[in-house]
Amino acid sequence: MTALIFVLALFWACSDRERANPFDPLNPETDGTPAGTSISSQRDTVFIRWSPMEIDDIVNYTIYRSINSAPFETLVALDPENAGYEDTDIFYDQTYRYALQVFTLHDASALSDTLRIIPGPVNFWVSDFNGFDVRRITYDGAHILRWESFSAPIAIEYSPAYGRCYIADYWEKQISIVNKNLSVLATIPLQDWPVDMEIDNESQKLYILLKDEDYLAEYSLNGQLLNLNRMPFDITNYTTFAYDPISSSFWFYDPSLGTVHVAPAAIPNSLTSTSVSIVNPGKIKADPILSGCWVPSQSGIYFLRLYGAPLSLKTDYHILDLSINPLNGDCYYVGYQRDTNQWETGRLIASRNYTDEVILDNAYPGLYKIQAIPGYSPQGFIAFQSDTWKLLRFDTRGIRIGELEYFGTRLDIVVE
Amino acid sequence: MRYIRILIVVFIVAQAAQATSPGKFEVLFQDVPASVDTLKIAHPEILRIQPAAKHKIEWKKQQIIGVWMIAVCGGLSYYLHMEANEAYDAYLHSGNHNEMNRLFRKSQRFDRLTGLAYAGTEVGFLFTVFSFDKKTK
Repeated sequence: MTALIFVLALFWACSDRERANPFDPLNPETDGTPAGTSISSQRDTVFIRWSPMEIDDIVNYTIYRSINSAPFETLVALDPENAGYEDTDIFYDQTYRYALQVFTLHDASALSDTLRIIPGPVNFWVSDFNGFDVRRITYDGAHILRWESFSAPIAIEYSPAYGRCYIADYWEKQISIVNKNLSVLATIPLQDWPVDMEIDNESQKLYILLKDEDYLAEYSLNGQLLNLNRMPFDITNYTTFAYDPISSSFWFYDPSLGTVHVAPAAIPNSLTSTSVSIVNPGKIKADPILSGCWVPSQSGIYFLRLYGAPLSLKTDYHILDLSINPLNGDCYYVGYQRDTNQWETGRLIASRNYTDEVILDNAYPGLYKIQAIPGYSPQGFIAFQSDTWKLLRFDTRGIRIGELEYFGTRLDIVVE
Repeated sequence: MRYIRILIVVFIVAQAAQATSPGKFEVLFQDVPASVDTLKIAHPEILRIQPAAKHKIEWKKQQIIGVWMIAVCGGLSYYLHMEANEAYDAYLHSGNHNEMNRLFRKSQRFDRLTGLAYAGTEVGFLFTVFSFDKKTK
């Protein structure tokens, strides 16, 4: 009798079929809701996509939308053959939430997972030297638009005129020209290992620092070599430079001397050395409004100008990185107080004589990289946190609005 | 002399008459093996067709049950499996919650019945195999 019960129990459990109907509320993958949903934005358009349900009797897909935490409202009902929708009734910097529901002749699914996005005027490109990839991400820093692997992407620049990105690959000794889908359109072979790259979008030129032979290479944006200048100082992996479009000059950080040189763009190897001694600087940046060069360093921030004394700010801080808002000149920085090791992220407001405004305190430690959002008013920023390997997106008030994981170190970020 | 000739002829005829009788013939060729007796003189019996002994197949009761179970349960198993598949395919594309539940339960039920039928096939197979055991009556 026991054996009979055992055998019957065995056969009772012998059906291993799964509840795989996507419309089935007991389907563990979908819970019966539209699956495969994704969202992205490009300026004032939000793109919503989903996997079409291959079931009978679908009447429509209904999309609901909520703006800034308001209740969901019906946005549109779409025919069954649709697998995506573009919402163009959008305003920048508003929080949009979307949910999908599918209706059949007999039933309706539950609402899908909520998709959240904050559209804005720009996207970001992030090259990850140690992560071996380049990612194009949305304005809110929460969604990846495209991703592609590269062997050693050390620097990245964007040309709005061409809609292309230029990626300097260290080990491959080349520049890859890619479109917005990250498809490689062309490659420019280089004479040596690239360590830094700048773009002049006005004259449509690309400048690349090459180590070992100490070259500054000048290319057209089409990839034609225009000039190859031998520089009179040693170029290493720690050499950085900036192109100053206002004065048409280059600023170079020379690690062997621990100082900054300036040279006219027409004769880049005709250097004039500045008098400041800089220890352990990050990437130097040109000021696109006032002209000059911003230098983050172990002893604060230096603002070097062609004429006039250098400006020294935040002198008791070790500043790891800074970024200039190209439209209002504000300087965003990340660093920590040397004595207390308290981390700080803030903004030096250009219109108020670089008054310091702290945005984030020690609640966000380990921020090593920052990129400001362009804008005439105070803007948000995106920053890399080395403790968590995350890219964090903050709004103007320092509220975190998005994040992405799995980044390595030595990032370069450019605004599209 | 005339009588001597008569005696010789009588003797020869008597010998010839004796040789043509079967008993005498066998005696004469008794050393010829059957395989070389192509004229079938010494072994005429090999000309006769010898039919093989008839072996009547005797179906044991256990064998009949076994084969019957293989056939019936195997066919049933195939039919139930197809029914289960059909119900599951209908479930996968159903847009009706009640209907999809009914179809899913149906496919599960047919799966279990398929399992039982398949088990019957296996039992039939074992019945058949063990029926060849000589100890089995």
